[in-house]
Amino acid sequence: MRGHARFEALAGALDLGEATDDERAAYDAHAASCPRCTDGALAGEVVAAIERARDDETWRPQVRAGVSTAIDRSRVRRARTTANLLVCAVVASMALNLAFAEGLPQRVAGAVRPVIARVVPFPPLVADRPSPGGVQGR
Amino acid sequence: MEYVRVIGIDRSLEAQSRVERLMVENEVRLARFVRRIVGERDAALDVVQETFFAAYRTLLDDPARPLSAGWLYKTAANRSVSLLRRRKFAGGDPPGDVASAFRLEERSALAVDLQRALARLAPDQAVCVLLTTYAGYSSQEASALLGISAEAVRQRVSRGLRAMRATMGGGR
Repeated sequence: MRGHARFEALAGALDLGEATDDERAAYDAHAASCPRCTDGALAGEVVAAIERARDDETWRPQVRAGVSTAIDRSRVRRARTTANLLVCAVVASMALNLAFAEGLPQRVAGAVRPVIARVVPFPPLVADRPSPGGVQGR
Repeated sequence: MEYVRVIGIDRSLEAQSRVERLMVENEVRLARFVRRIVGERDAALDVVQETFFAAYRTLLDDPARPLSAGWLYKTAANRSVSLLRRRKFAGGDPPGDVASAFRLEERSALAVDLQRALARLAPDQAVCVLLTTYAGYSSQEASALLGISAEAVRQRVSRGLRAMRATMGGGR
């Protein structure tokens, strides 16, 4: 941090009561010659006003009920989603077990094989093709 | 009991119990802090409820994570700044309106004056000023919460306080 910005930070430290004596002296020396800081006045009275307003505050908000309701709703939703997933997993597992027990995969493979053979006629292997020049290699 | 653990209810109950402890210790101070940033009670209550619910979600995902009052202030401050930016983007609630809303809720002239001055600050300046003066964090602590340097916090505080002094002086 350079130039005037450094002294702005120092002024902030002074306002918050965090500055050391050396920092205060450095700020005072700067403020004596800086046209932007010539008023020399820190904002201590604003800090005091904020603290007074905080101490005088009477509003006592209650957010617990709203948060608890939101948490309860979220928990029910989460539990329901997890339970649904568990039920789906059990049903899918039973369906797969039944299918394998009945030999469904073999029957499906038997039914599909001729269709695949018709739809995807595989080209002959490279080794079966005649070479372009009629030369079989040396 | 095993079923309860599988669907995560025990973790959820533990997270809720920790959030309730955090609410007992922090809800009033946090809501007042947020109200100073956003200007109205209803908006502040919404932000604070969202903050505690975010704490619950965080604890649900990572039960070992220690959540402090500082985490709450940081989250609430970020959400408040987002709210102010959304308001500004939507073109509503200029600073004068926020101060007027505050006046309806507040009898103290000092509090209204302060609110008018705060509403005119840039949101990040207002957050730095309030974290250090209203919530009582040092500039070092505020810098750790906001993820910026302590010098930057002090600079924003200095600029913010001077702007507030000008507004409060001019309003009298």
